[in-house]
Amino acid sequence: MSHNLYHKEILPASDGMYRYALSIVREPETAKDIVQDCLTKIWSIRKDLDKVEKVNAWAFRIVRNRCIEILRRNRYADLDEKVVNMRHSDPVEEQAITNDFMSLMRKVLKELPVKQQEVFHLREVEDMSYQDIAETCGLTESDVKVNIHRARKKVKEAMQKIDAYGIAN
Amino acid sequence: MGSQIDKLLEKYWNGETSLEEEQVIKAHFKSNPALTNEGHYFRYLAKQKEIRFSKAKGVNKKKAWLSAAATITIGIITAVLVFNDAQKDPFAIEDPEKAFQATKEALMMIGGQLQEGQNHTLKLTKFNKAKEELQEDS
Repeated sequence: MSHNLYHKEILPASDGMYRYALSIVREPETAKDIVQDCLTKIWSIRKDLDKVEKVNAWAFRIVRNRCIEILRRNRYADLDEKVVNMRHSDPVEEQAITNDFMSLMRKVLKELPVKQQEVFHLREVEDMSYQDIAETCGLTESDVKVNIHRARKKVKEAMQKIDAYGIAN
Repeated sequence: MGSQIDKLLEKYWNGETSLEEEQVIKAHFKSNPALTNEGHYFRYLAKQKEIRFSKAKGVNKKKAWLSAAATITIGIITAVLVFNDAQKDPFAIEDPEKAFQATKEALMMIGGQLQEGQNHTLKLTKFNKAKEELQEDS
């Protein structure tokens, strides 16, 4: 039963877990290691998976905790309080971003406070419900809504600047 | 359809859309790749979703170096151990008690052989003595 849960719920979520880890640590190799560690950890406790209420949010929370652990070990910053020092080069994104708008969008999103980046990613890329995001990030649902609204507002403002002045950093 | 999307977009930017409504917006921009900023924006989000764990590149360089270093170290240690082993006398006994026992047994065996040799020598001496007596009589 729990073995099935691992295959039905956890493995299909591994892409999302990887993207989430990547959005936090910004290094593909580190993100990959983190997800592999988390999958191994979840596999080792698969017998208890049926006791978990929301497996998806729980798995994402494990990824989040591991990311924070790695970031703290690497002395980047406290994820909850400060903005993580983002690296300028990001090979995975470099492949995907092919025009100025994409680069600008990336810049805008990276300048958001970490909390906003996190909830924005989980909502816009992973299509998670407010409740699941709240559970993953340890926030209240209203905190999640506020942070998503603020993030979207900043994105919208950046797009309005593009409309007014053209693409410029 | 246009006005429905506009309404949904307004709700979206105000943070009032449900997940289902957001799916409608995303599906709209997927099937109508508009060259507007909003079109670019939703395309950016869709691109992010294409990143896959299964296609994640690479090996952690630090880990790879560590594992290479560990392999080389294990290789060197194994080579040294094998070489040292080859230099040793294959019949050498490490345990002093066993060595003493083996030496004792060897000495006993040699002692036994010597005793046997001495018995043969005594017989020969007797034989020689008898031979000399016979020669004297004749």
